[in-house]
Amino acid sequence: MRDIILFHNSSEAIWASRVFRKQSIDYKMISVPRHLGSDCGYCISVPDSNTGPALESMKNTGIPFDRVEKNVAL
Amino acid sequence: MNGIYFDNAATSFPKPESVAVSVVNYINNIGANPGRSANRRSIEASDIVFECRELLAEKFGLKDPLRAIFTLNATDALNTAILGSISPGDHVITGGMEHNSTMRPLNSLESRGIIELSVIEKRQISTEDLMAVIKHNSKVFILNHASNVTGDVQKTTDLFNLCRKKKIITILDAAQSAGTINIDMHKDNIDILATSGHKGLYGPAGTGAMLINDSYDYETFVPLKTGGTGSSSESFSQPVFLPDRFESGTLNVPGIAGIAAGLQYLKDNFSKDDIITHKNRLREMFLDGCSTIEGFTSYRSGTINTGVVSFNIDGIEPSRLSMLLGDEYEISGRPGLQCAPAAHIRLGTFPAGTMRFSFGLFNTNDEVERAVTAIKKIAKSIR
Ligand SMILES: Cc1ncc(COP(=O)(O)O)c(C=O)c1O
Repeated sequence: MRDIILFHNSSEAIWASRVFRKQSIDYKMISVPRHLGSDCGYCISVPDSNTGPALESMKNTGIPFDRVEKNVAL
Repeated sequence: MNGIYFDNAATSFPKPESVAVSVVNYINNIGANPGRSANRRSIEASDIVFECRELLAEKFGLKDPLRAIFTLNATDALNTAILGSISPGDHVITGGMEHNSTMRPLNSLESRGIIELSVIEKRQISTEDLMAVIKHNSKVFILNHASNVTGDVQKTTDLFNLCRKKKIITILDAAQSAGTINIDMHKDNIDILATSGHKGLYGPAGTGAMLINDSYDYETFVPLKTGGTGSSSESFSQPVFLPDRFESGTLNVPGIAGIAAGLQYLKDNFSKDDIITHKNRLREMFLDGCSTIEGFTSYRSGTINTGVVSFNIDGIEPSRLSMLLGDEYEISGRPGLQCAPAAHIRLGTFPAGTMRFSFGLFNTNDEVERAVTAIKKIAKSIR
């Protein structure tokens, strides 16, 4: 299963993606699914086993985010 | 087009080659609007923009790259900072060597009775000067870090420390100093920094940035422009979060790609004081070369300098001198008031102004020698 990390804006999402890339955390940048938000921007989908490390690395870097949606079918 | 370019304080030229490569790469190979959809191109564009935010944050000692906001130029950054941070009835303080991009918004606010304004009419301001004008309603102190007329650098540490103690917001106009003088927004107690992207940072013309200190409460700071941000689109209100609060509409991505390349070039090729040392070496060489010319006046002071020199030759207007240098010797400088009448009033060179040479990274000793020879010939021809 995959979780989705939602951000306030695409800049935060891009920041997270750059950090995940550096730290080899598996992720995928996707459009915000319609039922989760009305925005044209991005969010990040991660395998649920990666959600913990992903959030930890965001916290350590100081990257703000909106929320996490668990087990989202895409 | 050949010739000698000594107008780097207006905008730097030439740019490092990587700047044009980066601009063209975005236009030809990426092209999409950043932050507006999750297609590959849009993500790549956002990545370039974010990389530039990181480079800016690193350059000025910020922790949070989201606090690096893109603007049209330094003027736009200063207007955003000034108009966003003041409220009716506030007292605002500024220096004596300010550019019109600070003086005009302040003057407009004062003449409409919105703010009280104190201008400290000095070339170098001391803490005593600042103390003498601080009042109970003093809200903001805006200061030009380096004069675009003389290149003189204003010492800010003690002044901004005093502002911190008095809870006065500090806005630094770093249009001339960014990229040349080392700046750390935390150590230097700068709340908001405004800069061009196209001068000492070596980005393309028509770029700029406003940086907000990590500890500054930006939520009290009102955006000058509002509009589409690609975020919170269901709401008619401007988002609170950064950078969206201050960035509405499509960004100048080619320009931002260029600033990123400029910053990367500086980071890869120069260590701390290399640039200021180079520019000042050229400046000293020029001043030494001209020191024997009869009627040559330069408006130098003993302070640190960004590699700018303003000068006059008795008997010739700066505008005519500029024309002769251009037409006969292919040397480009900038005559007149350089958009800073306040600075010329301090120097006693208002209203005719001066001829200004501002040296850049790529200027050489040979170019300076050729300029000295040209000025000697022109001075001789009018005697
Ligand atoms: C001290 C100073 N402040 C502000 C500006 C305005 O810069 P920009 O042209 O990027 O708006 C300049 C430009 O010359 C300047 O020298």
